[in-house]
Order: sequence, then structure tokens, then C-alpha cells
Amino acid sequence: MIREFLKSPSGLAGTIILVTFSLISIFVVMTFPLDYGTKYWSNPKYWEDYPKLVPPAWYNYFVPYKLPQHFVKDLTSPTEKEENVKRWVVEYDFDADKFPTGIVFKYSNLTFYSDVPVISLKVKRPDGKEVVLFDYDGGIPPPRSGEETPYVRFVENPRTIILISDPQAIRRATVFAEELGVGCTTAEVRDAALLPYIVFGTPISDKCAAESFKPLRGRYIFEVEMVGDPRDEIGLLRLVVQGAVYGAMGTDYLGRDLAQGLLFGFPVALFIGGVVALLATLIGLALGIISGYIGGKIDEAIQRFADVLNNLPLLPLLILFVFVLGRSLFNIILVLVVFGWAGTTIIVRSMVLSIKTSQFVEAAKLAGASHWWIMRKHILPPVLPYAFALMIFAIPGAILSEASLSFLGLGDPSIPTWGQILQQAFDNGALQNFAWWWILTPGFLIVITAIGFVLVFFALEPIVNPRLKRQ
Amino acid sequence: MASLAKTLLVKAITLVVVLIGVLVLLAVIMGATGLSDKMLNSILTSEVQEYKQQLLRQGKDIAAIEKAVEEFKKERAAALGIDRPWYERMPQLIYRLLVLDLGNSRTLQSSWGSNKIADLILDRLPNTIILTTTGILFTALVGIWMGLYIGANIGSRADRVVSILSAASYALPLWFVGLVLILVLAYGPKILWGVQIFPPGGMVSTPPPKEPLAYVLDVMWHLSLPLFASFIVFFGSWAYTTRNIVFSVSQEDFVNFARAKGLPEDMVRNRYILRPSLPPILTSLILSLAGSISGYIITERVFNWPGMGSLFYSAITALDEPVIFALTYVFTLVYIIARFILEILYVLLDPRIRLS
Repeated sequence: MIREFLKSPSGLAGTIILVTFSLISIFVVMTFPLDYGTKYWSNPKYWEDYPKLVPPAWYNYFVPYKLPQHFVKDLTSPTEKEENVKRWVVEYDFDADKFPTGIVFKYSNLTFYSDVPVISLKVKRPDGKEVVLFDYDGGIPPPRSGEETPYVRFVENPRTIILISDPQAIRRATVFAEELGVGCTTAEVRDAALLPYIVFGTPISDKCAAESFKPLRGRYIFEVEMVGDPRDEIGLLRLVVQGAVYGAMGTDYLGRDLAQGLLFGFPVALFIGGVVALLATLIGLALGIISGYIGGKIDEAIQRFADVLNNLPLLPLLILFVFVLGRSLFNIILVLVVFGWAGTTIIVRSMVLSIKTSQFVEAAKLAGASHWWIMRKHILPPVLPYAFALMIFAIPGAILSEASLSFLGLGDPSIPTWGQILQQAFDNGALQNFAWWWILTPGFLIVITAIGFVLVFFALEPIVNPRLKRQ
Repeated sequence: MASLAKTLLVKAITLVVVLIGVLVLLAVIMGATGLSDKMLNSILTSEVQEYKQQLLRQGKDIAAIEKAVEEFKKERAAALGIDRPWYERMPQLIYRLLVLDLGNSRTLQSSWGSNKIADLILDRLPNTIILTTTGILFTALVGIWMGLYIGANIGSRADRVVSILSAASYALPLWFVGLVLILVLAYGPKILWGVQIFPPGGMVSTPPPKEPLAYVLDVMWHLSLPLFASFIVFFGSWAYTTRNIVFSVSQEDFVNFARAKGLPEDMVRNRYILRPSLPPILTSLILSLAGSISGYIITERVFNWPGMGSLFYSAITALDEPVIFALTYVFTLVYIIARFILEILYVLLDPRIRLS
């Protein structure tokens, strides 16, 4: 039977999809923390280093120009030390045709002994020019009265300077642009995020616009300097040149690595689909057997109810209920189960009706078997395989319904799902920015999962229901 | 004939019971979960707040204001019915709906500023009919036509293509296909080459064209992407369902017998295969058309189409209870009427029912 199943092309294709997706889910469950959603995904602070709204890294193979990669350099000790001056030097080779999207400077575990040290950042460009991006960091809290030396700062949360929105860096970049011959106001530099263009470009016109710059390729040397007491230290220093491409799946408007969110969506989708389909099928199976076997008023009542549930437009009701009960995974599953059993009941009942009249049931009745015994021993076994196929078929429906609810903003906010990623994409201008990676991948993952189950069902159906065997 | 009338009457009564059942169920859910109270309370609080601000601006003294506000609050609570428990309040609402008095919305308004729910529906329903109903009708007719053809040619290449398409229609959410079409056909060409081939959403351009003909063409231009999306998604399933029905009928003994009798193939197809296939196909078509009145909630949102689906969604998010009730009622009513029409059609189409 398994061989027959795998011999059909749809069965094989469906199985391959589902096995792959299950393996990915197992991998995710084993490697991701369970509170990934609240701790990382919905925490914008965690993603501040990442480039915002950039396509995946492999996009470079499909476009005639080269987009810069994401560049991160961590330093734990200074490159040079002289007396009271410490220097950290980061070399960055820039060889792309487009500009990076930003520069972020971060450090943590700052220890100082007397006054607040003066920390500055400058860039030496390949054309020999130097840009000082800031010459002091005003964001270090000075010693409080009564605090003992050494003063330690930025232990829990690192100090982060996002240069494209930092007033001092913008002012300095504006001055440097003036030197290059491009006259801009600081407001223009800030609003159009021109800083990376000014730092990494040479001007081709004097208009204040991103198009006025062409990339200046070569080696850039970023130099961080700290002047203070000789004992002053920085535990970890990080320089990020944000790329214009990132990772396997790109990033969204908060800089979140979509590959991670999409990976986390695998087990969630399979879990919701599986649990909903299992519960709904169990209910449908039980009610179908009761309805078909007992008959009479009970049958009429169950079938009327199932018939209405099966034909009423359900989405409005699903939306209303989740909205009323609250956006949580449990409620979504509950609502989908409560509204999802009707189809199975109707089909199972019609199968039971034909089994009921068969001779072995008559024989069992004559032998004095109880209803319960007959339902369990004679009705259930022949119905079970088909009910299993129906369960497989119910999974894609449940996955799509969850995605629909999520897309309306009714998903569980503590768990990233594909539907929610799509919703955020739709609400935050993915279409207007042509951020195809943000829309196509989650959507196609939903569709491929659903197709996997539908294909398996198509291959399963003729096996479990010989009447339907195709020619 | 008398028995026939009786059957129809029983069906009609069952359907009315279903209609009341749905409303009662909704009322119990909204009441028992406390949502109804929550909605009324939020309205009451905002009304009282507004009244208080108004008094404060008039500059009366604090004690008098407090007293007036307290009285106003009591009065409004009584008017809203919040001083009574939900199971006393709801029957009235259900009764009014049953006699087709849809009432007034609390916050939502029609495009000409009316608070009447009947006006809200009149405002949105035509838009939904333009989008959803025509979409379903067009797709279904093409699909059924294709299915009838394939049902007679099982195993052909067209049959295989339709089988694959039908698998796709179980797995493709309409709204996602809409998103992809908007991305690829509306924003793609605009951003990459600067040409607007298809509009990214909405029902008419802003400002709308003055001339009637230009207006119609403009609406059709906006309709093209959603129609295309619904065709992609639903065509396969219509064709495949029809094919299965036709195929299973054509395997029946009476068809073989008709052929064995030597009846011409045309006659076998039209009388012995198509006629018994018709009731189930008609059932799906009529129920889909009835369901289309509720609109595509998500797809209307994706295409920014001001139809019934988006109205229902705004009613939920704005916690506009009367609108939620009225719309659920209207959707169910339309479904019930469709079911009744079907019962009559069965009688007309199926001699077994007519003569029994």
C-alpha cells in the first residue's frame, strides 16, 4: 500500500515536501528558544544593527550591478595603545556598485576611572580624505555622586550610535559634503539618509541628492579613538557597515532577518494545521458515525447543523470569534476546530449509511451486540482510513485559515507566523517599495505547505476509497 | 401535490429555525463573553467624557458638573440598555432584525454620512456585487463549461492540467494571489520601468472620470486584477468538481444501458449524463453566489475595495455591534433564501423528488 502510494507522482512529491518541512520544523524546535517570538522577533532593539528592508544576499547573482554585503567587525582589545590614548582600527573593503545602507557603531562594558573618556570615530577614505563622524560621545552617563571607581557603563545594553540618524554624525557629514562640493542642509542629509553616500562616494554633480554620488571603491579605515585615563577600557566594540543585501531571505522594515522568522513559521504552521485537523476530524468522525448509525432525530439535527456550518461563509465568523476571544494560539485553534468538523461528519455519515446495511452488521445485531460495540468494531474500522485521508485534507485548510486570520492582524502576537509576516509586509509598505522578498517567500511557503498536504491527499484518496480509483 | 407543498413547507420552517438559531447563537456568544457589555461601556464612557468636556467649557462649577454628568450617565446607560443584563437586551435586537428593521450603526457611516445600517449596506453591496458576484459567476461558468467537456474526455491532457489546477485552488489563498498580482503587475512595472499597467487597488481612479463611459471603463480597469486573481484560484476547482460529477454519473448503469440500447451519443450525453449532473452543480453555483454577498473580507482589503467584506471587518474592529448583527443576519438570510430556491429547483429538475 505504501509502495502504491509512493508510486503516484503526487504522492511522492507531496511526501518529499512534507518530509522536508517536518525535518526543518524539528531542526527549528531543537535550535530556536521557545520564547523566540517575544524575546527576539518582536523586539526591535535586537535588530538595530541589521540593514532595513534589503533583499537577500543571492539577489546579487540576478542583477547586473553588485550590492554591498553586510559587514560586521567585533573587537575585544584595542589595536594600538599609547599612554592615555587607545585606538581600534577596522578595515573595510568596499567594492560594490551601490551604497551601503548605514553605519552603526556599538560598544559595551565601558570602564573609566576619572573623567568620562572622549570617544571619537573617523574614516580614512581610499582617496586620502578623512571624515570625522563624531569627536566625542555625549551619551555616556557621568559618574554619580558617591559612585566608586571604576565606573562601569553599558553592561546590559550596549551603547549604540546609528550614524544615519545621529545629529552629530549628520552635521559632520554635511560639512564633509560641502568639502566635496555638494551643498546640503543637515535636514536634507537626515531625511534622505544621505550619510552613507557622502562617506562612501565621490560627487558627480553638486545637487544634494543620492544620485549625485558614485561609489568610491577601495579600502576604508575606520578609527575609533578613546582619550582618557590609561586604565580606561572598552569590553567589546562593534562596527557595522549595513549592507544593501542580507542573509538568505533579506530583512524587513525593522531589519529583522526574515530567514529566522520564516524558519520559525515552519513548526508553527505544521502544529496549528496538525492539531486543528486532528481534533476536527475526531469530532467529525464521532458525530458522523453517531449520525449515520443511530439515525432518526439525532441524525437530522446533526446533519442540519453540519450542513449550515459547511455552507455558511465561515471567515466572518472566525474573525469575529478570534476578535472576541482574544488573539492567542489557543483561541485560534479552538475556533478553527469548532467550525471545522462539519465536512468530515457529512462524508463519514454517508459511508456509515452504506456500511450499516451490510450483512456483518446485521449479523452482529442478531448476535446481540450493543450499539457501542458495533460502532467500534464494525463501523469505525472501515471508515478510519478515509477519515485519515480527510484529516490530511483538513490540514491545508487550517493552515490557510490561520494565515488569513494572521493577515488580518488577528494572529498570536507572541509567535511569528508566515501570515503575520505577510500582514506586516502589507501594512508597512512592502508593495509600495517592491519588497518582493518580504511578500513572496512567506506566501509561497504557505502555499507549498498546503500543496504538500493536498498532493498527499490526492494520492491517498483512491487507495483508501477504492470506489474513486482513477482510470 | 399536497405532499410536495408540505415538504417545501417543512424545509422552509427548518430554514427559518436555522436563521433564528444563528442569531441566538451570535447573541449568546456576544453576551456571555461580555463583549456586548464591553462595547456598550466604551461607547458610554466616550459619550460621558464628551458631555463633561462640554460642561467644563461652559465654565460651570465642579459640583454641579459632577451631578449633571452623573445624571447624564444614568440616562444614557438606560438608553443604551446597559443597565440591563444582555439576555434581556438581546431578544429585542433579534426581534427587530427578524422584522427587517436593521437599525442604526453606532460609529460606521455610509459614504454620504448616514448612520442607517440599511444605507451602509446599500452603499457597499453594489461594489461587492461588481467584484465578488461577477467574479464567481464568470469563473464558475467558464469552469463548468470546461468541466463538462473534460468529464467526457477523462485522461486527456486538458484533464490532467485541470487536476493540477484544482489542487492549486485548494492551496492558493485568493488574497495572496491578489498580493502577488499587485506586486508583479501593478507596482513592479511602475517602480522598475515607470509605467502603470494595472492599478494597485481601489475601485475608481481619484479623481473619478466624469463621463459615464469613461467611468465604467475605469472601474473595469480596477476590476481586472481582482477578477484575474479569482479566476486563477477558483477556475480549477469548478472545472474539477464538474468533471467529477459528470464522470461519476457517466459510470452509472443507466448510462451504460442507454448506450447499449444504441441511443445516439448526443442523446446519451444530454439526457442521461448532463441532466442528473445538473442539481449538484447548480447547488454549488447558487450557494457560492449567495455567499458572495458577504464579499471577500481579506481580498477586498488587499485590493482596497469598498465592499461588504471590508464593511464587516470595519464593524468588527470598530466594535459596532448593531452592524455586526445586521450583517450576520443579512448574510444568513441570503444563504437561507438561496437554500429555499434550491429546494424548489430540485423539485423542478429531479423527477424522483417531484413524483415521490
